[in-house]
Parts: sequence; structure tokens; C-alpha cells
Amino acid sequence: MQASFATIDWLFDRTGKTSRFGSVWKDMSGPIPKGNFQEERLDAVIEQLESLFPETSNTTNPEPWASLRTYLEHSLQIDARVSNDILWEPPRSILLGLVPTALRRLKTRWQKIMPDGSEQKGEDFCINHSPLPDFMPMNLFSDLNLPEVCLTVPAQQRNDDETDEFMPILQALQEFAPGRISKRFGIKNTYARHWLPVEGKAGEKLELSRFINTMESLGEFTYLTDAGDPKTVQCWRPYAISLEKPEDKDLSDSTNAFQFWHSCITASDSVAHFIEPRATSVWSGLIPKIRVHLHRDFETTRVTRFSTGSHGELVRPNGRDKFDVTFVNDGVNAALGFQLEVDGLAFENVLPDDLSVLLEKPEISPALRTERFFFESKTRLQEEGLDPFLTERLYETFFTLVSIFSVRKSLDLVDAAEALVDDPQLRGHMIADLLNLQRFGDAFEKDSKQDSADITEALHDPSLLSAMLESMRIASSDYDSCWCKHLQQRMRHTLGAILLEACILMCPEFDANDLVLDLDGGASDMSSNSSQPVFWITETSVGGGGFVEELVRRIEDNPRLFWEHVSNALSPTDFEVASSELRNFLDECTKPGSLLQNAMASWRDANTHESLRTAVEDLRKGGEREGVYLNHMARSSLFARVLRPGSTDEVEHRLLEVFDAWDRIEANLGFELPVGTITAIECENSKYDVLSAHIPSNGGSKEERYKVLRALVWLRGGELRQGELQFYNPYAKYETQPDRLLVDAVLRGDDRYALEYHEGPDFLSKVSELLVSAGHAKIRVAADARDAVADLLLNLIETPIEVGYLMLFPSIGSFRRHGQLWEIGVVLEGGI
Amino acid sequence: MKISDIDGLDWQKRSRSELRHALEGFLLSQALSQPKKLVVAAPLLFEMPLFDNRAGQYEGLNQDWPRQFLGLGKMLEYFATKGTRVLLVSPSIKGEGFVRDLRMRVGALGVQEHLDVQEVAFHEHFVFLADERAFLFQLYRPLRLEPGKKLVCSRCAREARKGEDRWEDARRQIRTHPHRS
Repeated sequence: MQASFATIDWLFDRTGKTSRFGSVWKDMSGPIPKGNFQEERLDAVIEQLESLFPETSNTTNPEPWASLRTYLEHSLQIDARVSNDILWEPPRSILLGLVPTALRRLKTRWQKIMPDGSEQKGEDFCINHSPLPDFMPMNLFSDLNLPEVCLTVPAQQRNDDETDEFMPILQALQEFAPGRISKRFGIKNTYARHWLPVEGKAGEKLELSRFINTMESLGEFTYLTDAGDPKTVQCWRPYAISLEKPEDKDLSDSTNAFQFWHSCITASDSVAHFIEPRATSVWSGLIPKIRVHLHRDFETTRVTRFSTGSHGELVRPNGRDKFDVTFVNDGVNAALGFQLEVDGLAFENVLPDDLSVLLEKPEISPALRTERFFFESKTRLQEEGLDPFLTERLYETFFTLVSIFSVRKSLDLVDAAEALVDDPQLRGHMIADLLNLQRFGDAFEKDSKQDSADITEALHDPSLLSAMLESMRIASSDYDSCWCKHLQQRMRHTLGAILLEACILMCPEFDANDLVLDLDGGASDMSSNSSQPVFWITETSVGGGGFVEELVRRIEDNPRLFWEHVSNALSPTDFEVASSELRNFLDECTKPGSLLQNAMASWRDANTHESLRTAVEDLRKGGEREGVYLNHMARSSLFARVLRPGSTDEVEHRLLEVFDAWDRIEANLGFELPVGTITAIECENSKYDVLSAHIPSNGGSKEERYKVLRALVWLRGGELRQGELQFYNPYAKYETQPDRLLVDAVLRGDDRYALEYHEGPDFLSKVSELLVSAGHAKIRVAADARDAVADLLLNLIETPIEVGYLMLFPSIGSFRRHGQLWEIGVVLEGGI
Repeated sequence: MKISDIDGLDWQKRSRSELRHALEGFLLSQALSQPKKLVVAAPLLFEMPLFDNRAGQYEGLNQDWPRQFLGLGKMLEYFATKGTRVLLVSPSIKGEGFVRDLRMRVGALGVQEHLDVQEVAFHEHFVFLADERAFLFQLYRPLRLEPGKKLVCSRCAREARKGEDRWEDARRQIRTHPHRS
């Protein structure tokens, strides 16, 4: 950027004597009127720029670029190596980027030349008083080279003029999606607001020329419609948009709309630069290759983001009108968008064709079925036109109702759902009962009387009920091709999120928002010759901000660390560890005479600070002795839930009963139950009254028990896992939920590099054999066998392994805990 | 006493990281055994980077560890907080900063009495004694040990014992000091 300014200075230095008027700065900022006396200097500037390419000019000076280089070195105080990079190396090099662009604009007087050679009406990209805006930002604090749009904002109040405001194109298109009312530029009075007007009907067409003053064609792009059909549209990059004031005063400020985004990511399938995991890595099966597309290697990624229209709601005091708008240009479907050349990584991925094993694994199958029900219900209910917020509450409430009925009548979930759908009277009673519980028990539900009314109404709608019943049937069905497709989608989502997290962790000093993950290349996938599906991780800034370049350098420098980050994303989170260890704690502390039971009793009997401290220490030591790992979160939760002031030893017994019942019901139904559902089921049992014995309450009511159980019982399973591995892509909406266990289960099924520990002299030789052949091994040991693991580690580091002519010592690369198992990663550095 | 014999080869050709990995393995195994006493005797003590926990590779042992390289101090802190009596034996000047930082961290956890520093002139040997196990090396080169040899390094062990005796004396003096009420 500084070099761009210095280049303008250099041009002035060489041409300044030509004319006393104007400046190179103004010349570069936009076209000057024909016949102006500045033309003379303009020609001199063009001559200087052309002289930088001797073979195309008539100049007698063979190397003016050497003069430019010397000027840059002196003015910027840089050495020859850096100046050479600035002049020639991408991105945005002076001689290959800035000079040709400036030359083109000056010679054509900012006329646009189309690829077919015809001149397009309108001006090339320029901003008043801002020379070469794609090389230098308008302000020092602006993002470098961000594609921007000029928004013409109507006067905000009487006697004002309309103004021009500049905004990054993504922000502009989202802020002013047709039908969205924005007060972003309403800074002079409270009533000033702007939008791109729509009529508020379904299937509306919006002519681009109605609100776009200047635009440029980016070419034709294909995208998939909701029905899955490919459709091709001409895409336009807007440069100037005219906003309007909403004429309808009844329209609420909350009138909102969203763009229909599509993407097209293109790059060469056969790049010379790629990264491959080692052939013996467990990841090599899922991610066989990472293609590297860097400006540095002249292998960039072209990312086109375009919107084909918008959808939203016009909000008025008397109701809401849904609408969807499609962009058209001269009556033909069109799209608005922008194109960036960025650095990116393409992760080729191969997902297993047969994922039936996942539905057979008891640790994940119930969660998969519940999530499938939620996914199918959400899809179907939204097709029925239901509001997204209401949708989520509706299918969760339906699931809870069906679960309660199924436990009461000992039915499976499908039978229970059918019975409920067929019996409106029974359904009505149960809905009223459940909503009453929720209103009483969940503090955040107290203001939602309208929601409850909406839920009740929706639960009597035959089409919605039928959609949810069908979803329940699908979720209960056996593994088939639909299940396979669904699981592959979720797995792809999970894998992408894991890889993105690993990339961010490899470069923690960079801003994570500079990377965008696309689970597919959009339209480019349809035309690609490559048979491998890919995830794309691309930068958001033109030319790349250096994130991907540094990331690639670090991965190549330390590939093991990168794959360790990827593997670590599969480990249980703090929340999951706390949840499972608290459950283990309950198991141990309810055993008569156990260390933990005594420690709990000491804690409750403690009457001095010293005795309390000793009791806490005993709890910690007892936990370690019994193989219960209480991390900070688990300890906090333990004191907040189990060891609350006034609690008795009944609390841990009753809580354990809740968790036992939870396990039992889930095993019977084959579905995972959210915490809200299990508490709604268990609150019918009066034995849990003791949990609230020390709390002033209404005494023994079902609502009271529900409220207390909601406060004491903690989340577990899929509900906890889904909080992790989330990522945001402003151009895509992925409906499936990631779940680390999906990938973990597949990788754990790959036992080629894992060994279960057993005592005996042959175990070490088995480890040695594996290390010689693969270079790494995973040893799984029961978490309570501390002494055996300690001896094993010593034996491992003391025993050299012969690899060819070398004697190498293994090292302990990782030490992770999965539930009640330790997984020790052993690595033979320097081995295969 | 069991001697960790990681010898048998020409160690001068072994890489630095291999030695670090051996020390990692030793400390990891002792972290699981939770010895009552850990003696570290060294010519200089510093926060030598040991465990590469940047990807949370060692969270199985302690989930609260930060995601970065974990140094010797972090490991000793772990031992001290788990109830192991940690005894550092080193010339004080070299290890002053390291010990001060460690004392601050462990002190904040309320177990500072488990830590002591003695001024002993050590020049070559790094010794880690954990109850009945020993791990020792000479700067970046482990010592050649004879399997079955009972005494690890007479000088190290002698100095370590001396240091421990002095520590006990100091504790006794503090307990019986007239100003202590």
C-alpha cells in the first residue's frame, strides 16, 4: 500500500514539470473532462507507465523500472530483496497489478472493455479523491482492498441532500437485502430509515436497474435450486446502489429480509503444491489430500458469492406478510454478487459408503435417532411455512409429549406418537399439562404466553402433526440409503468444523473470522473433473491476508501438531468430561463405606473452615483414588448441585436414580432424551420430594419437583456435544448438526494402529512391531490401572527399537482420556 | 532402587529431543504413580520446555493445563499440588528466577512447605529421584549406567540426601522457633 503511494510520487517526480495544474493523484482518481488542459500531463503519465515495459513502448530508456525500484528503496527504506518482491510478487504487485490497471484506466479514460472487445457504457471502478481504490483504501483505517459499494442515501430530513456512503459489498448486500428496513444511515432523526422496496408478495421479481446505478457482469454461474435442479444466471457486481425511504409508514422497523446466497469456488484440480497425511495416519483414509492454492505459487482460488434474491417478512401492526423476491435484469433471472481472488485450501475428503455401524453403536445410536427426528421435523415444518423459532419449540414439545406417553404406556415412540396424533382429547390434556410444567419450571418461559398458545394451536394442526409423525417414523427406521445420506451430511459437517478449528488453532494469533469454511465448492462442483468432494477453507480478503500462507508453512513445518489438533477436536470437551465424571462421582459416593461417601459426610458435618478444607481435600484425593477426575467445571457443578447448603445424602441417591432411569428409558426407546424431557418424565414420581425438602416451596407438587430437577440434573450426550464445533459461514446455511462422535466412531473402528493393553511380556514386542511398521501406535488402558500404566510408560521409553540400521527410542506423543480409558499415543520419531 | 536404564547406545549421537522425550516419559509415569517425594538435582534449573501440549495432547493427565509447551516448572507444580514433596537441589544463583516463579505458583496453591531449595554445587548431573526410581543424565547426554547397579550416582544421591536432611532441620527449626505462635 505504501509502495502504491510511493509509485504515485515517483510518477509526479517524472512528470511534474509537464503541467502546473492538477496532480497525478487526481489523474488516478477518475476520468477528467475531455479537452482539459490536464490532458498534456495525463499523456506524460501514460508514457511513463508504458516505459516501464520497454518491449511495448517507444522509449529509449531501457529500464525505467530500475529507476522506480531505486525510488521505492529510498523512499520506503527497504532493501533490494523487498523492493523486488513489491514490484513483482503477488498479491497486488506494482508492475504486474497496479501499473497495468492504472494504464488501462488512463488509456481508456475509465471506459469498461468487455471480454469480447466491446465497450460497456459506464465508467470503470473509481472513487472521488481516492486514486486506484483497489490498491489503496480511502482511509488509513479502512480494510485494504475490500470490494466496496457506493450507496446513495436519500436525504434524512428536510433541506438535506442525498449523500454517497461506501460500504463493504457483503455488508451492503446483507444490510440492504430487498425488503429489509435499515436505520444504519438514519443518524439525523429517529424516523430516518432506508431500504430497497418490495411489494411483499411471494414470487416477486425485482428489476436490477430499479436500484442499481452501476454494475459489471461477472459472467454466468450455475447453482442448485431448493428442488435440487441446476439453474444458470448472469451475475452482476454492483458498484452503486440507490436506497429509498419506505413510503408505507405502517411498516415496522423490525421488517427484515435475508439474501439467497450461493457460492462458486473455482481453482485448478491439479495443483503442484499439496499436503498429504502420512499413509499410516488414521486421517489418511478420510482426508487423503489437501490442495494448496496460494498467490505465492500463482495458484489462486476464485471465490464468487452471489445472491439470487431475498426472502423475509413485512411487519405491520395488523400482521406479517411473507415475501420472496427474485432478481431480474431486463426480465431475465439475474444475481448480484462479487468475486475475489484469494488464498485457499481444498481438503479432499472420502467418506465411508456404509455407515450402518453407527446405528449399531449404543453410545451414539440414540443420539443419532433423536437428532434425525429433530432434523426431519425442522425441514418438514419449515416447508409448511412455520416460523423458525416456533418450529424448534414445536418439535421439542412434541418429542417430550411422545416420550412421556411412551413411558407411561410402555410403547415405542412411533406407536406412542400415532396414539397421540389419533386422540385429540388426550393430546389436549397432555399439552396443557406439559406447558404448565414448563411455564412454572423454566424461568425464561414465563413471558411466553403467546408462544404457548401458538404451540397449542400448532399441536392441533393435522398437517404439522402428520409431518412430525412421519419424521418420527423415519428416525425410528432401520439403516437405509436415506440414513446413509443423512449421516454423511452430518459427518461432512463435523469433519469440516474439525479441520477449521485445527487451522485456527495452528495460527492462534490470526483472526478466526478471516477464514470461511465451505463444505462444497457450490456451482464449481458440478463442472469439476475431480471425483473427490472437497471442503474449502478460504480467506475473506482479496489477495489473501497471509493467514493461509502462514498456516501452510506451519503445517509443513510440523504436520504432527496439525493432525494432533485435528485429533484433539474429537476429544470430549470440558463440559462432557464434567458431565461424565459427575456421574461417576455419584456412582462412587453412593457405595456404602466408600472413601467418597465418608468425605461427603465429613463435608456436611464440617463446622470450621479447617475441617471444611480437609473435607474438600479428602474429596479430591478420594476422587483420584477411585478414578474420578474432577476438573474445575466438575468441582463447581458438584458444589452447586450435590453439595448445596442444606443438602443431605439423599440428594446423591435420588440424583443417581434419575440418571439410572435416564439410562434405562433411553435404552428402551432407542432415542436419546434431552434433559427437559427426562425431568418432565421423572417429576411425576413423588420420591424426588426430598430434593426440595430444605427449600421453602409449595410442597410436593409436580411442578415443584420439575423445577428442582431442572436445577439439579445436568446436560449430557448430544445436547452437550452440539454446543461445540459450530462455525459461521455468512453465505451458506447448513441444517445438520455436527457431532464429534460420528468421526470418532469411524476412526475408532479403524483398529490398525491401536492396541488394548494387557499384561505379559509379548505386549511390548507388539507395540514395537506396530511402531516399526507404522511409526506410531495408540495404547488403550483402563483409567484405574495407574501403576500398570506408569510401568508401561517407563518400559516404553527405556526400550530401544531397531528400525533398519537405527536404534530409536519411542516417545509419548499424547496422553488422552476417553471415559474410563486412557489412550496413550506412542510415536517413533525418525521411523516410517 | 530401580534405575531407568535408557542407555546401551552411543548417546553423543542421539538428538536433543530424544532426551527430552525420555524425560517426558519418566515424569509422565511418575505423575501417575504420584510419588511421596521427588528430588530434582541439577547444575542449573530453568523452565526447560518439555511437553508439547499445544493441541491438548496431555489433557488426559490434567485438563487444566494450558495449551502451550509445558515446562519443568509446570510439571513440578503439578507434583507439588498432588501432595508430592518436591525437593530442588541446585546452585541458587542459576535457578533463582525459576524457583521464585515456581514458589509463587505453588505458594498460591498453599503448598509452599513442600518446596525447598538448597545451595549445592552441582556441575554435570541432572538427577530426578522419585521414591524408588531414578532418572539421570549429564546435560544433554544421559549417563552410561550398568544395569543392576544399585547406586545411581553416589555424589548426587549423597547431596540429595544432605539437602533433604537440611530441609528437615529447617522445618524443625521453624516449628520450634520462639517467635512462632
